[in-house]
Amino acid sequence: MKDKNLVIEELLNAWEETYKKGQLTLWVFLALKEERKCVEEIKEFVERMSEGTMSCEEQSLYRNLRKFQHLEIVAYESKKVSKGPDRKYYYLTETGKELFKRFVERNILIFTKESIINLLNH
Amino acid sequence: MKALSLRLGQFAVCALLVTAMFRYALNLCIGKDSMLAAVSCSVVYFCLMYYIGYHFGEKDAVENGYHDIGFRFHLATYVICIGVGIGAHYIGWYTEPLKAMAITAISWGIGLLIHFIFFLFAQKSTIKGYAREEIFQ
Repeated sequence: MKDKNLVIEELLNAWEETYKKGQLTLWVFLALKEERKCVEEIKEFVERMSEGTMSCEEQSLYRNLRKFQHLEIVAYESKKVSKGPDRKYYYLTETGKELFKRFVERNILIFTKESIINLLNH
Repeated sequence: MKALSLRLGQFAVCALLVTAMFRYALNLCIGKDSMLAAVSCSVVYFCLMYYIGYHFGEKDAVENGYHDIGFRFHLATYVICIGVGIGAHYIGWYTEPLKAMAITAISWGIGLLIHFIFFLFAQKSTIKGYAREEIFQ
């Protein structure tokens, strides 16, 4: 029989895998809400602000941002850099801001209710 | 997301080359009355088309994300295969009579039409062409 801690660790990993799947979008939106960012800066923001619990490949970020751009959730402006091609700085469009606001209202702010905070802390 | 994506273009170019080579090889095999060689060519052609379709289709799904249940690639394959077949006939390569080609074009066309209907149904459950469950993955 497996050690209890090992079972909990395995269950925790399985839960986190599922939980984190949909989390990247939230972190990307948070990054872009702060200010316009290029992909490298978004990646750095996600990893730093999530204290290393979230990680993402640049390729995956590019793919998602391209998708969001087609859906008119994000847009970008090109800026010249001293070396190499122009760099794309992404930002939330009005649709993106509204989408983020409504998502946060429905799904995130509930965790700031005192009764929930109390449950989380005990 | 583009209906005419880079990967679809690459697939079309490869499919065009492979199909033209297949028709030419088939012309030679039939000319030499070699049934075994003709069947072998067809098997190789099928495998190559399957491979390039899978290869570029998979890349297109990842990079482009157009939820079209494979309809664009199917349409491109249809146009290329039928087009090259007719072209080969007029060039003078003997591969199959025009009547047989017409039967293929019509029966395959019906299959393509059914695929198109499924494609339209699939489009109804998308947001700007993206599958709902894949947008925020």
